[in-house]
Formats: sequence, structure tokens, C-alpha cells
Amino acid sequence: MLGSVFTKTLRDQRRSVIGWLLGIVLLIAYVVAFWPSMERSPALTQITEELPEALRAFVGGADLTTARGFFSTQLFAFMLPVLVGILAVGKGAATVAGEEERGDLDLLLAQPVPRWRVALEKAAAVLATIAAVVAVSCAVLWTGIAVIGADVTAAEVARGMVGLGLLGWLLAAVALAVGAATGHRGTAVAAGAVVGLLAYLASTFARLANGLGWLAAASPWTWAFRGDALGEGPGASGVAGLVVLTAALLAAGIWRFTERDVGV
Amino acid sequence: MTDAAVNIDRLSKRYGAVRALTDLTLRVESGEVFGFLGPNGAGKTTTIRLLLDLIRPTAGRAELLGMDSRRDAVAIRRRTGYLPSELALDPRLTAGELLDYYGHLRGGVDTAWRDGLVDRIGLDPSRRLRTLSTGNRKKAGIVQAFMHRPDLVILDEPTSGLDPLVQRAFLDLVREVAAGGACVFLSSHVLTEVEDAADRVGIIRAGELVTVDTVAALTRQAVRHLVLRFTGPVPAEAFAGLDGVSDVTVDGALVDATVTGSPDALVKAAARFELADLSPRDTELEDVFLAFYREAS
Repeated sequence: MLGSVFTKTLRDQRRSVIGWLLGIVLLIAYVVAFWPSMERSPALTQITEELPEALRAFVGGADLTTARGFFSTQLFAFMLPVLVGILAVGKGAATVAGEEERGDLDLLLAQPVPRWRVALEKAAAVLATIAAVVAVSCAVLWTGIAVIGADVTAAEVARGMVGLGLLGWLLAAVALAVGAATGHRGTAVAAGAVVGLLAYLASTFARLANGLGWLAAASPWTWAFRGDALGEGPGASGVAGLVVLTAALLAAGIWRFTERDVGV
Repeated sequence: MTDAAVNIDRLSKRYGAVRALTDLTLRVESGEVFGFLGPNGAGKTTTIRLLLDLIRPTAGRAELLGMDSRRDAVAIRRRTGYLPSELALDPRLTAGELLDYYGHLRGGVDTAWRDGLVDRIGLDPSRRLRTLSTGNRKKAGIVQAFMHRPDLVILDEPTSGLDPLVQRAFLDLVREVAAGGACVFLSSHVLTEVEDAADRVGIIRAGELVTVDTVAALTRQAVRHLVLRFTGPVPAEAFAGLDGVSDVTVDGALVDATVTGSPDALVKAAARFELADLSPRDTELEDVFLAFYREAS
């Protein structure tokens, strides 16, 4: 694990990632376990049907009476993106800016590795970590769904998880790029949090207001999940948009990192 | 003519209106141990971080081992060892893991030589860096700076925090690698820390190089504070008008004097009384410079 900057960065993240994974797995297990009783309860079905349109949109706009809509809403409309988002922003900010503030980036940058490559390998490690967390979440959710026999296909689970992972990548890229460009961990965390929050608000509230549909359409949150995460997923254009934006942010941040004074 | 190990040409660094370094021109040869002295905040660390391409100059340039500090930064770092003054190491790693990591990034190092360094410096590689004292962390920093047999070693305040025995082992190592042809560039704010090892010393103050000279020449002009404690009160007249002695205060049995160059006259004057103790007060580098300022102004 100490052979390269990439593997070393993976190693740095493993302990806290295991904690996050545990939390995410528990959340998935809880929501999955809840579905069978939900499905059998006509009262609950009735309540959700009577929800005002605005409130339905707020929780993702999905149909809560189907398993697909239920999981889309309970997991992907808010909880999973928040958990993965916090992990992504935290790791993205800690990885370059955090190390610079702590001071141990100095000695690393004195090794015969180009500065852009140090940042690139660290970014790749953060993205790989997020991908691994989402992959495990995907396996856990699919297993849970199979166990309770809910009417959701593996492809639908995968679609939602791809959207989740790419949204996580984007938020990590925001924090990492801002951190690499400024060297300030706090600024990086703030940038990631603000982008995540605005994307969420634009995707949910703008959909309710007349004439603000363009705002919802411009939100990466919408790109990742569309109307309901398991039903539509990000689609080819959503995937492309999120990947391109992630790559562009990382490229800009790393470029700025190679140009500036480090550790001042 | 061969390339100098360090060849700095009018290097300057400004942060807004603050001039951290102004027109530094300096040449240090291979095989030389160069002491870079100055009080804290004088520009030593700025210079060193410029040489390593961690920060970029506002003007001027530097060549290390015949290569441009900016364009050839990676090639230079391959042959350079570095010890930062504020040494921050990943606390989760053991000292051995840290050496492994940097060794891998360097494409492998001679492990026999590295393990020899670990023994000489007295580093326990199995300990987590989190649990090590400042001095012991510094040992890890020293080993990583030398473990790839660099042609240029740049050490920022290497001896602060080291106990005297380790300090001696370290200075032996410095002399040894210099004898083997490497250039050692070491900064300090205390003359006594570098005078045993350095061939030449450069003194920097407020971002400007004040002088470059041999250690012997500098000590001749060095200013020291000596504190003498006698067994009984001594007369002030006995210490007045001594050669090379100034700022004498006599307070009963205590005499406090500032000596420039040789303390011979003071010691001879003191010999007439019964001396209980004779000790130097920590020499602030500022004092060493005083002579230069007086000359300059």
C-alpha cells in the first residue's frame, strides 16, 4: 500500500471509509426491511396517494406505492446522496488541502514525482474510494431486495447507484479542485457543501415552481437521478455531463495546484 | 568549469508588499558544507523552498546540480535530499513505513545504506510517528533526506530538537557525505550548531545576504555574552576598559560581559578573583551580526 501516491492515499482513507460503509449498509438494511410492511399496508398507500403534489416532488416525485418508487424516495432522494456526499466532500478536501495545512505535503512534493501527478493520483484514489463504497452499497441493496423479493430489477438498482456514484464524484471533485487551487481545507469543504446543497435545492424546489424547470434541469442532482433514481437513472446524457464536469473541475484544480506556491 | 551544486542568481521572493528574499546571489560547490545562518524570519526557509520548487520566485533564478530549479524540478529532486524545518510527517505511519513509502517514490533505495543510517541516527523504525517526540521524528526526517545518497542535501534547521549525541552523529554524517562529494546546505539560527561542520557560512537577515565567509573568520568577529559568577563581590573597575569587551555590568558577584572575538582579556581580568562559574549566555545570532551592521552603517 506504500508503493505509490495512489495506493498510499487509498490506505489513508480505509479506516474512515469502513465507518461510512457501515452506516450506509445499516441505512439500506433498515429501509429494505421496512418495505414488506409498507407494501401490505393499504392505509400507508392511501396516505401517500393523498400527499400534495408539491410534497411528492420534494421527496423525489416517485410513486411510493411501488417498490421502485419507495426505494428511490427513501434511499436516493436524500439519505444516500447526503451520506455519500459528505464522504466525498470530506475526502476531497482532506486529500490535498488537508495535507497541505497539516504540512506533510511539503516532503511528498520534494520527492521526484511531478506535482500534477501527485494531485492526479490522489484524486484518482478519492474517486476509487467513492466507487468502492457505492459498489458495496449496490451489492447490499440488491441482495436485500432479492431477499425480501421486492419488484426491483438489478439493472434498476445499478442505475440508481451509478447516479449516486457520479454525483459523489462530482462533489469530491469540487472539494478537491478548490482545495488544490487554494490550499485551504475549510474553503474546500464549504465549496463542496454549497454546490451539493444548491444542486439539491435546484433539483427539488425548482421543479415545483413554474418557469424554474430550467434550473432543475441545470442541477447535477437532476442529472444523476432524474425523476426517480431507480426508474430513470442518470441516462447517457446524465453520465456524460457528470463525468465531463468532474474531469474539468479536477483538471482546473490540478493545473492551478502546479502553478501556485505550496504551503505558504 | 564544472557546475556548482547550488548557483543562485539574484533570486527574489515577494508576498505582496513583503520582501521575503531580495536579490540573493550565492554559489556553493559540490563537496562543500554550507551553513545558511539567520534569525527566524530572515528568509532561510523561503530560500530553501524556492530551491525545491515548492514556491516560485518573483525574480531571479537558481540552478541546482547544473539544472534549472523550475524547469528541471523533478530531475533535481531525484538527486536531492530535503529536511523541512517544520517537519510534519503522516502520524499514522511507522517510521519504517515512511521510509518505505518515500523509497518507493524514489524508485527504490539501497536498503543496506538506509538501514545503516537508521542505526547511526538511532531511529526506531517500528514506532508510529504519532508516538514519537519531536527529536525522534527529526531522526526519521534525517534518514529520509540521506537514504538515496543524494548529491545535494538541503536541510532546514536540522539540529533543533536533537539531543547532543544524535547531533554529533548527524554532523559526522554531514561531513562524511560531503567528503564523498555531495553538497550539504544547512540552515540554522544558531552559529554553534553549524560551525563544527560548515566550511563556509552565509548570513542572511531581513531577506538579504549580509556576508559569506569561513567559520573561522566569522568566529573571530563573533559577539558572545559571557556570564561570570564569583565567590564574592568584585569591583567594577577590574572589568572596565578591557580589550574586546563591552557592555559590562557588574552586580555584586555577577559579571555580565559582551565579548567580540577572543575572550582572552576578560578571562585574564577574571583570574584575579575566585571564580565560581563561567558560562556563555545563548548567543543570539542577531549579536553575531552586530559587527556587520556596524561596518555596513
